[in-house]
Amino acid sequence: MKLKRLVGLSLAAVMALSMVACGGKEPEGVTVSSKEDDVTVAVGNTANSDDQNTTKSDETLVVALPSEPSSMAPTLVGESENESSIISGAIMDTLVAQDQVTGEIVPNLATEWEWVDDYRLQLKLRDDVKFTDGSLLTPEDVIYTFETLATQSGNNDGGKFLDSSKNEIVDEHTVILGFNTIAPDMITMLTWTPFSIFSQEEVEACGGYEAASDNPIIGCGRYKFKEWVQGQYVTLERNEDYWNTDYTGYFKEIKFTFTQDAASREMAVEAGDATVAYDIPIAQASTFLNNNNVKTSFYSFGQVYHIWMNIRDSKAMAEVKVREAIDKALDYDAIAAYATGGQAGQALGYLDDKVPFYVQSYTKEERAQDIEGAKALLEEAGYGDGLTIRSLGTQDDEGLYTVMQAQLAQAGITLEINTVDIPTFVQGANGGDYDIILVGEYLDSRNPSAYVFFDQKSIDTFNIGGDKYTTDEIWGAVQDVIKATDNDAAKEKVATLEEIMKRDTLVLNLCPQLRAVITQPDIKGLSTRERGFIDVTGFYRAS
Amino acid sequence: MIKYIIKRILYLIPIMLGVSAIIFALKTFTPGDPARVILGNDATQEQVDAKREELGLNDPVVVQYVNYIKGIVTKGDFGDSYRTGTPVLSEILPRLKTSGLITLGAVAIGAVIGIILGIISALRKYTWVDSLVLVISMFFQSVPEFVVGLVLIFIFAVTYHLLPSSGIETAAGYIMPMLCIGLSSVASYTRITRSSMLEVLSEDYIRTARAKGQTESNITKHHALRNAMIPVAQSIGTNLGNSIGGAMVLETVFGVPGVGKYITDSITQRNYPSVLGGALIIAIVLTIINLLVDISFIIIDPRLKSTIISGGKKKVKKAA
Repeated sequence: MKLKRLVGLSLAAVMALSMVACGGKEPEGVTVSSKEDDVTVAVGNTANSDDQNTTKSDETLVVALPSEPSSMAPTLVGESENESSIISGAIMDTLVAQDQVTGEIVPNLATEWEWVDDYRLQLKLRDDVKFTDGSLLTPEDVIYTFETLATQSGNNDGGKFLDSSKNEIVDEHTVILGFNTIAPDMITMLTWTPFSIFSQEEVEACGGYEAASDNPIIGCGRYKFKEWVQGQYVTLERNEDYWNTDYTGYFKEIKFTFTQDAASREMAVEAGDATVAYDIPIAQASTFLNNNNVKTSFYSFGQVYHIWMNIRDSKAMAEVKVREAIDKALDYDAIAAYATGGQAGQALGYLDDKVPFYVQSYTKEERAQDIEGAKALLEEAGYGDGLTIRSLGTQDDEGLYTVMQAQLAQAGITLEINTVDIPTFVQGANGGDYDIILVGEYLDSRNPSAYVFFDQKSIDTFNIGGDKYTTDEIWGAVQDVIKATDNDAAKEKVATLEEIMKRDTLVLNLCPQLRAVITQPDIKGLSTRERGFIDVTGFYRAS
Repeated sequence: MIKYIIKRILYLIPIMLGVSAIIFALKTFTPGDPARVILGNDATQEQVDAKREELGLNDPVVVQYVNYIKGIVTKGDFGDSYRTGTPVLSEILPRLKTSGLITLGAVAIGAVIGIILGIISALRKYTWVDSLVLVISMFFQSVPEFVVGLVLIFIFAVTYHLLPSSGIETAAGYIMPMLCIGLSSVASYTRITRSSMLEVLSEDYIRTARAKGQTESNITKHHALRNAMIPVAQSIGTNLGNSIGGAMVLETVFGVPGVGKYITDSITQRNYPSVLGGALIIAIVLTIINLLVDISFIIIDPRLKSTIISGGKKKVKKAA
């Protein structure tokens, strides 16, 4: 009897604890939002359709990031650190920007620009831009910045296309920047945070760019650096002397905190300790959709999940019928539903469908799962008794590969999943240690680096993923895309390239890659920069 | 005694060599090029080769290892972080202070709750109170610390807004990590206190005290508790090391800039000098803690002096 009473008491205690922990009582002061308030933001720099903020407050925006940046210099750390780009994106400013709605390139620190020839871009600078130390932006700063970027080319996609020998100061407000490749859309690259202009004086005073990155960066952006307590937080304050007087930063200060655990970041927003939680895993974010204490937003940002097949090193993958069989065996709707948490459908082209030069190269019917068709193709290719292939991916890809594994198994293809940490992935992807590889590719501009998988010059050097295969025909089609002068012309060229890719089944387009952000319910103004990094300067609280 | 302390400090040498050798071996046999990690995916092979040369990664592993140990011994140099370029030691020391503070707080919380529950349990032995205490303490030991951490955040930060959900900007930020780690050790303190109390309460001198008419509370406070605390105190010492391990996991949940989070981040970034430096510094700290704990045993219970110092061996005087 005693034992029964004890068990009863224990259960009651556990239940009481659970009731306290999971109680549905709405905390006071938390506004309720509905699922309809959640937004899906468009590609690249385009963003929500909220009204622009017109008021200033004395509030502090607290942004919970997964980890602390190693440096405030985005050029130095390249694309490997989202956090560095997000923070410095608020402090620094770029020569040109991308319109939040149309995606067009618009003036910023430069008021106008034109290509002098295929390799030289002339830009006219504003004369009223001040760095946060009070000094004026000069053409020397711009040239110095781009010369430094060229030397740091290992850390950014675009730096390797700069040609400092062609740089020139035309007059006190005009500069010419040199490039080593013909690519008119390279101007889009100049909207990226690593191409922000920094103060030559500051960098030289610090003893170089690497040394400057450890010190407060003097930028000319919407916010200025205030404090960095290592391991804890970075604080910025509104730049009241920002050159663009039409811009009104709502928050007086922005504070970045660093918490690796995504659930803890989300709970920080619910608790009111953070205003925004960045980079919540999609599957996890989906579970917060019906939580009225937070607003969950998903957005695509121009990155698409692709499966590449190693034509160079894998005997089976060199066989087009095998590649077609894999294509037919996959259920793309199910893959997209899993990868995007049901927020987006499958990719019917190589590019994200919101990119201005997007071309749809498949219909949904063409991409319907066809297990019998897949089996027949395998039979024809001599793999009627079954085929075993090996994937390569990061630990984040495990779930997606597991979905594919089950689908491929129906057609008699055994997928051995090999997911590793990032450095190992990079090494394996470069060396070609895979039959298939999952890569998310950022393709929102016609920057040459976006087509590196087909680059005849670099295909046998360092190259993460791809088919390890190209031809004159493919490379010619890629060159046409890169050299196209405008989006309409580019569309035609992309159509040709996609025809080739479809004919030879060179790549399997899975679905757009999404990011999720959780905010307090009354926070508006979510917008993004390159690669889906949030632009923290746009947030405001709905009145 | 001094001889014993020196001997224990000298033990650090093989421990350090062992730890460093294991991590060096891991570094050597794990795929992934640190130079590539530092320079990024788009660096050319020439840039990577130059970086490897600069970092000494092209030297034979033995040479790299000897150079590393030489740097520590001669200059206290644990290397520079690949990620930030700053000395590992200067990055770890402030974090060590944070982790140490959390560990001490956690041990204090665990010990206080555990001792109180253990005493209650012993005084109410074989009753439902005794069983309930056992269930509660076992509950916190069985549930993984990170789950307890998330539940605590939900209760104290999300629901009642009493404590910050993450970070240690204010003293309140330390409470949940300390509580979380402390709760997981409650069971062990409870059990040790209970069994120790039961043992002491059955001693002759307690019976004598009762016979002399002393009150039960007086007997518990002045006679039983004091003697029952010796094994508990020893357990607190050994638990310090375990709690440092617990703090490492929870630092990622609570966003605490401690040495655990530092090492975890460094592992994922293939930041070998930080992993190596962190592991060695933790090994040094744990060895010192163990030494201090052993010394404290002697102070608490001088009877243990011969056991600890001479390992229980007694000198036998030879007959003349």
